[in-house]
Amino acid sequence: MLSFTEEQIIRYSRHIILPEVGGEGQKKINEGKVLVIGTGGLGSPVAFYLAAAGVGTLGIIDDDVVDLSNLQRQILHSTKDIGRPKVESAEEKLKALNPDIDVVVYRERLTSRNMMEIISGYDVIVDGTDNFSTRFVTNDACVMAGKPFVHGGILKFSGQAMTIVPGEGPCFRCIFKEPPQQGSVPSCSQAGVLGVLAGTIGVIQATEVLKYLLGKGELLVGRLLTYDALAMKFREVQVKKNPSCPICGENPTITELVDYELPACSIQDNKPFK
Amino acid sequence: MQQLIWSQRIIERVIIVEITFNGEKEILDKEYSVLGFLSKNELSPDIVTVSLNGAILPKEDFETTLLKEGDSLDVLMFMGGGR
Repeated sequence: MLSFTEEQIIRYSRHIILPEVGGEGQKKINEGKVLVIGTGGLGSPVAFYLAAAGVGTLGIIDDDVVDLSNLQRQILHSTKDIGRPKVESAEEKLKALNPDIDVVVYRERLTSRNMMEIISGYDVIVDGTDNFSTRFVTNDACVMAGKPFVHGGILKFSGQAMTIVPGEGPCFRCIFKEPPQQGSVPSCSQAGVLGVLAGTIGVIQATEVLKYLLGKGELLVGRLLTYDALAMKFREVQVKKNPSCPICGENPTITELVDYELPACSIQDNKPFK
Repeated sequence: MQQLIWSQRIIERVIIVEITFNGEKEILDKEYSVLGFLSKNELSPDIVTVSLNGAILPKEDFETTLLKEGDSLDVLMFMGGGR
């Protein structure tokens, strides 16, 4: 028997009315446990929409504080939050939007040391990280733990997203074998990003999470979705599982989690992505 | 007569290869390795992954792999999270 309060029925009525969701689907969302890594550009819209949708347990992890230069795209934070820990500012907005949900706050950096323990409590992991070390370690941990991982990335006027379901398709390392070499890359602030891209890609990631929780639709498994905001074009690149992948291949060479020492956000000053 | 032979020689030297690059047709006027093609497009091999005809091409093979007629090349970029 589905038990919703009067208020929940109204709050989630536009979901419940969808035949593909219904009361049963909404219950799955309400029981869902999702970890959003980073509460920045991508993490903001992901966490915001998942809170609105009623994801019952929303873990947010970030060790950073809000900076004025974040506000062009990191929509969970406001001008008055400058200097505050991002997770604290984020928690406040998420709880204000939906007091129904549990927000679990981790004010720390996700590394090989705390990774396995933290992800173990969640159904889906969302990549909203700004650095490649965390992204590669998260991919490896998710493959090892068999947890789905929704990747997203943005750069200048381009974005990409892909869902990794271990055992069902390629992982992030099947495509990007290892982080780019240190030194080949200037900082994120030099390269720039059109703020709205965080919304476009973040909302796609949130959509994938809801589909996964609902068990509906076709996930972006084996399909890297790329977006060019200038051309206003989406494109899909089919990617296969790589038999020689160091983590999910036939003879994996990575058997334990390792961190990489890398600058945040590896980006080179290239022409807009075609 | 001499002129005709010359022009024939020039035609023989022009190599036209049609490939698909990131979903769009592109005509190459000479033979390119994957590395050469990336360089022509000002893309650093250090920060991209190349998918050639649906399979990820190992970085070690960028220099020795020549682009052929009908090849489909996708260049995938490393992207951050917008912090």
